[in-house]
Amino acid sequence: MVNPIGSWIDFGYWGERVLSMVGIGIHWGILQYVLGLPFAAFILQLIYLRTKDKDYLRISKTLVKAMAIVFAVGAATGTLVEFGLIVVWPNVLTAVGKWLYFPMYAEVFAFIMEVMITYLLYYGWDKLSDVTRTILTFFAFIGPWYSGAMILSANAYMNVPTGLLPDYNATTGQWLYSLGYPKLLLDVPSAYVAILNVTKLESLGMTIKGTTSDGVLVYIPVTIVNRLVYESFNQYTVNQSILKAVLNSNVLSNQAVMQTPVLNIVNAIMDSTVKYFGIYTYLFQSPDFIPTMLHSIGAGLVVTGFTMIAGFGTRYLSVKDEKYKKYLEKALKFSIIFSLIVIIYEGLIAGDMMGKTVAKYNPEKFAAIEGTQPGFTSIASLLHLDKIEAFLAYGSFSAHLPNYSQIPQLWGQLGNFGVNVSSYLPPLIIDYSYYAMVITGVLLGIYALILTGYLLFRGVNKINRFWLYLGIPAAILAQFASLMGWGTREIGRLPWIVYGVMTLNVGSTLNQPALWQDVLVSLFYVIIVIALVYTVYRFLWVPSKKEILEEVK
Amino acid sequence: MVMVSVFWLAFNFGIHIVLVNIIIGLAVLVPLFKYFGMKRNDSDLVNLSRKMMKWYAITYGVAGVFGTAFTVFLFSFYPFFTDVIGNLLLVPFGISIVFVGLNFFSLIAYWYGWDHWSSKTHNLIGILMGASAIMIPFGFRQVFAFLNEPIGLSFSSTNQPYLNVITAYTNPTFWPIYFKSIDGALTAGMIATMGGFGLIYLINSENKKYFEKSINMLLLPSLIGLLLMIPLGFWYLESLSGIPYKFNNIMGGLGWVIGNDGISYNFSWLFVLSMILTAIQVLAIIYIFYKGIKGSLISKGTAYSSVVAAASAVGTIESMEMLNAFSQYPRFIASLGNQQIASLPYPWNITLSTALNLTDYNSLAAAPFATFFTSVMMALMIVVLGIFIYVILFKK
Repeated sequence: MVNPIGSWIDFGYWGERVLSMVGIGIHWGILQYVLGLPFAAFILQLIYLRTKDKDYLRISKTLVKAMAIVFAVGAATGTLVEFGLIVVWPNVLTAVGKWLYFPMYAEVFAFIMEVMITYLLYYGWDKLSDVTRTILTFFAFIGPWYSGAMILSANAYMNVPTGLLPDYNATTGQWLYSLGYPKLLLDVPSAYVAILNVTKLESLGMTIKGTTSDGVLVYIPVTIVNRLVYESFNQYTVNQSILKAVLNSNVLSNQAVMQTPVLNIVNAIMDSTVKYFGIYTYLFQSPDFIPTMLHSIGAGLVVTGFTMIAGFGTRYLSVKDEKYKKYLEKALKFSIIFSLIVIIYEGLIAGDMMGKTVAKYNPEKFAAIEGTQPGFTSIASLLHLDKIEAFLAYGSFSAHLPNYSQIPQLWGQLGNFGVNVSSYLPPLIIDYSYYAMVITGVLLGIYALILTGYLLFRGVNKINRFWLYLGIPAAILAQFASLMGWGTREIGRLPWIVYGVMTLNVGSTLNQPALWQDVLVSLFYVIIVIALVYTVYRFLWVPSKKEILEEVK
Repeated sequence: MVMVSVFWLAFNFGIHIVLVNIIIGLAVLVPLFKYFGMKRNDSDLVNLSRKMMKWYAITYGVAGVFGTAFTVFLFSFYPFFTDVIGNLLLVPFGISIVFVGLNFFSLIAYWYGWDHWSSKTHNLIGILMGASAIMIPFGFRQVFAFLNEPIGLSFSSTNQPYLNVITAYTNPTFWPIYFKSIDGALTAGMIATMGGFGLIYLINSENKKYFEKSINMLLLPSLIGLLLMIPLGFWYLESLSGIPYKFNNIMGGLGWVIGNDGISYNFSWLFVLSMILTAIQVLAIIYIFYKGIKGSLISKGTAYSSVVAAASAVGTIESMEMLNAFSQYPRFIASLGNQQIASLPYPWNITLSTALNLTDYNSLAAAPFATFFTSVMMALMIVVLGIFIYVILFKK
């Protein structure tokens, strides 16, 4: 029997991983609203501009108020995450800073835009004209989307590095490891090409694509890249490196070359590769970027939509004041239609794009998602979804899903030159997390359809109490689905931090945090979440209970 | 092109550190004033505290933005230096991270909950706000002390570097810089508060009561804080005597040189500038005292004087922080020159020889379009910042 949890645990580095899971997980959860609330507020203002119905402006103001509270905590947890990454995964941040910096630059300004606009809107709401307010609200959602896109570009690269040639042929069902796949396109400077034995490299799977003004474009197997990155961050020199085996014989006696740190060579190769692809666009050329961006923003919209249903719906049930009731009816109607549209978009458009990208570029992860391993009880096979999955992923019912059991345990390792990784197989637990997301998403879609049915055929005031109370678990489930999706993405990449490039042990800090430090920081994060929930309850929910909601006066 | 990287770091750090000092001061003063106001039934003092809280919240947001920008510039221009400190300084950074988070949370709770919490709960949150603000530099100043001299840097039997945290806190430069920072922040916070209320009094005389209240509450403590800076400043200077490279760059131009290495970069002018700005603050405050004794404590003259003192306080922080940073240029760790780095265990002697040098920056990050983009966006950001402050604080 396969133990899906055991293989996940065995990757180690739990101190760092727990800190990242808790920190980024909480930040992610909060961000859903930062992505969704201002967009909903913007749509509402457009409706207000068109209808001149002030209730829509009031609903919009309520959402902006919620956004101001949530954003503050989101910004704080974001800053903590940034610091956390520096101290917990310093080598990853070094690589990001060195080669992938431009989107991070751009993100700073997006973040600034978010801060300024959010609070300008919140504090200046009554001082602004309708049009100015709408324009500001437009930027209030563009800011987080732009900011999110920049950060996600780095995450996309971590999943599918720019220039990656995948290692699976869905038509034949063959893994291509024996041919040296997956490979990464790199621009090797001419100075290094001159000292390397190309024949030996070709025998290891390297293929030449062409030349640039000062280098040679080569597809290098990730097994080699992985090892060189490991050597770089472990202070190897050429003399200690695998490079020694592929140098021209006349170079072996050159002490200057032999004493060169491998990091310097990797540095030069990466510098010229980044320049070849474009310093400013390198990350954005990852095939994973657009799907990731669309899917993540979609997740934020879904969570926001169902949370609005929960908030407005349950409040509607206890309100007696007619004016307030009318306001809530409009808010609820908007929330239901909004949720239906975004869940359809998320599942059928963004989710589909994301799934196809994973299937093509991260076949090991896809194999784990589908649980194609004898002895493992996979949800896909239980539901007999194999053919449908094959069709959705590859556009053909006759395509083959990647077979997990055929993946060599050490597929990312170059022969005997290991990097202290005992397995390159992604944990099968992501089969459960992925299908938890999918099933939850489908249930949410059905729920939104039922509510829309009420709207169309019976009116918002006829919605059964049961369905409105169901809004609360629906909101929680929307967050759950988003978290499961994110978990699948991140856990499914193990043991890689950057797929094909850097493994967990290479990215981790030299001085791992002690258990008490992990516990303390994790507790701290949990307290922040509890405090956030309480703050929202106190400053949004309690005033609305008394029917003196400022926005409804 | 070296200047591009150094310029952006100095620019962002310069703005961030000034605001951070004021924030620490306000984080302590706001709850204190609220508490005294409630206790004495002094509604003007409570209102004064509330106005200061608004400044605090806005300053915090802006400081956070520049702080984040600084971090991004640091790891973009100097990725391998970031790698070194990231690997080594987990505990000091961790301390700051936790207290930044606590401070932020208490700020939100205190601000949004002003009329919602019970007085006791509000005061408790206020204590948390002030205490957490004071503890933030306990981590960050340890990083600064480490960058003066890497006390606590140890190597395991397998040559892995790590930080002995207890030893790190015995760094002779840590305690003076920490206490100096706290005193400086509280003093700057007090002087900036008086200057701020002086300015709004000059703009609109209806604000006279706030200016008067701030002067009554803060004039004497700010003078004490300012005078305390003198021994604390010299304590820190004395602690730097163990790092001749840095000390000489600060004092060498004034004829005070330690050891045989002499002056590498003469930044004594920044020291002199700091002293002049400090003297201006002292004189401005003494002038207000004098006017008070003469019976005209609240006047246009004292308001102008408080504004001058506030501007000088900001200038003093800026010049002192720049002096502290630039006096070790181009070294990231002041006491580690090429010779000292070469004596570290292999392979760190090789790795650190480039990672700890400010002239060895990431050329990709200094590419022309990146510099242009950063300049344009930074300019845009400052304009938006101006509009933001105008709308929030002044627009009716």
